[in-house]
Amino acid sequence: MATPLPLNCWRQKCLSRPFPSTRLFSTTSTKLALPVATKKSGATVKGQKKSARIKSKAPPKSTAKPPMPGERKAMRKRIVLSNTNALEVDGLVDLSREMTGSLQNHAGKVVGLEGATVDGLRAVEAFKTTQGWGLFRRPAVLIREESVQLGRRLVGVEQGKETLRVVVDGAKGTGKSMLLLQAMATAFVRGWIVLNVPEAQEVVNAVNDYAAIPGTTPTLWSQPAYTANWLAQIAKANGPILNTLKVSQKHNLPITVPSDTTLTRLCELGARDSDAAWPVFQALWSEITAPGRPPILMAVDSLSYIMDLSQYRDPDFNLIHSHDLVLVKHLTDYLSGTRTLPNGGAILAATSRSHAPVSLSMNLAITQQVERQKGEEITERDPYERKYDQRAESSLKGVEVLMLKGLSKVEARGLMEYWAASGVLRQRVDERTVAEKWALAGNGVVGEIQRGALRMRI
Amino acid sequence: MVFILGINFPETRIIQKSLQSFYGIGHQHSSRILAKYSIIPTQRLGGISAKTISAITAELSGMTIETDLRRKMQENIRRLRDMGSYRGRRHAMGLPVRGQRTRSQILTSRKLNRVERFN
Amino acid sequence: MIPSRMLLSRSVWKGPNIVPLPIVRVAANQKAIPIQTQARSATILPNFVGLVFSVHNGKIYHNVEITEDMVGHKLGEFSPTRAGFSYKHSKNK
Repeated sequence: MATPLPLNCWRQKCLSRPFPSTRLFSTTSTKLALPVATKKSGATVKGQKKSARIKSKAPPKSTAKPPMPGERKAMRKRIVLSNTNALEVDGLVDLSREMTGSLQNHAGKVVGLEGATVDGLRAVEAFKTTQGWGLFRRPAVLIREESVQLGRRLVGVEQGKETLRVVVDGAKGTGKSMLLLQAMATAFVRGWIVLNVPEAQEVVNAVNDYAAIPGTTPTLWSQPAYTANWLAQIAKANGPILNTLKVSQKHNLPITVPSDTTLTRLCELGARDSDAAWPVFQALWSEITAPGRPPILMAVDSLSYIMDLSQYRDPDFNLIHSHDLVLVKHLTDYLSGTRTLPNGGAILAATSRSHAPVSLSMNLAITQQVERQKGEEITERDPYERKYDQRAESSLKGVEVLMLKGLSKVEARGLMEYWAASGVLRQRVDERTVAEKWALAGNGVVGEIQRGALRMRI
Repeated sequence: MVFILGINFPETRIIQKSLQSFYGIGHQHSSRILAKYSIIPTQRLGGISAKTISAITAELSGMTIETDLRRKMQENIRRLRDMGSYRGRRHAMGLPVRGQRTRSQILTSRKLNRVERFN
Repeated sequence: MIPSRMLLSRSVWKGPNIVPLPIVRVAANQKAIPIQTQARSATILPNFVGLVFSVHNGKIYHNVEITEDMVGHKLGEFSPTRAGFSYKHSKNK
């Protein structure tokens, strides 16, 4: 055995590092070393070339048709809402108007969504591809504590004709978008008009055309194509309600609208002509906020996108602030409380904690509001930070914050029992499994429970 | 087909790319032109009105691009050459102008540095 | 003179590099004597136009007649310092 080298060799200014020629820890290099060539393997056959030229084959040409334009995007955004292989769950009650008044009776249980509600939710693009709808027989949602709270508030504002302003926040996978979906489902069954911006990113990241609205100072910008699309979505989702409502006021519109038109028809007319889309939306808005009309729910997902500069540019090449986009302004006016809904209603915004940009002002406003709600000392803004956005801050002033945490064990159990009844979870649901999954999912983060129980079956 | 400054572009071409195909218009100029007419960066030629196209053409015809720009650059080099400055001499010799080493790797300057420079 | 040249190469507050040169104006009918100088970094000013400078290149002095184009450049730019490479056939080998 060789003499042991000093441990702190380099500290003693020993420049030559110990070379472990005698004591190899690894045997990989000897194992991987080429075998000693025998004569036989090196011998060549007469008439054969010596060099090892490998014939390169041309890669096989694909005979499949390339996908049509937009086909791949459609595949990516495809929402599958049913799985015929999953079991029908017995005794699954559907969300109904009566139930929304007393959701606490169903707390910790899963309730189904009936066909009409699902159609509405699908039309407003409330379902997301990441939510795992394709695993179950039909869409159903878990009524958790926060759903009960929010449901109670929605019923309250409907009766009191107030405007509820809520930002839903929470860690990644805590069900923020799902809570928005539940609120929309509640609104649909209660006969509200629902307007949803499924992804705020699409409004601000300069993929839809834009145009300055003449005669506005500071200049406001409309997004004709997006607005037209939105109108079509509104018409499709709220068809049953808007069909019963008719145009009652005089509007100064670039298109001719017959006097006795239904609001669905008005939306469709606006959707057809993108240049008229924004004026038509304004007309629609003044119609549905007229006295005697149903309450309105507006929902926005990935809020932080509209709390900063957008990607659009004005003629002087400056970035346009998101709140100068007239569609975003419409939402933030109600979110900030500068405008209110006369027939009652709500504006809900969910943050995104996975792919959205960081908006310091939004984060600060949320932190401050949470502290205010708890009665704690309020965090001041960082005096050395320059990236606060004044307009974002003022638009979130006084907004209620609903902070989502993990599920309780009771709720987690209700959810897992539903999975087991659907035949998706092949495990006995007892206290032990629930506790295990709950703990592994960061104390009941619902997205992680789903991932751990349904996606990664180890 | 869309005509911009006498050149034909297919309608499926992205506007920014077709603008950048002109000598003297790069990312900066094309982005600014798009912003001036409120066009999104991914817009294709088929999606904008003929009025905007003609406005862009008018904008381009007021700029020093293509032949005008080439001529201007050649004049500048010729001026350096004619007054006998060091930079002019290096251009004429096809060698690096700004003090780079010449022991190796001067292919770019051999290709580009000349009195009658084209690109 | 190229304004950006001044702006890009040197701080604006310094202005051009003005070197006191022994400029002697002679009458039109007399022959101008070149102004010998080693100040290669002196900026050529508009009032130099028409004069002849004898600019040092480290070894010898080159005569440079200043034209209008040269204003804003330095004197040294017109007095090359390096000999071009040319292959010399040596007989002694």
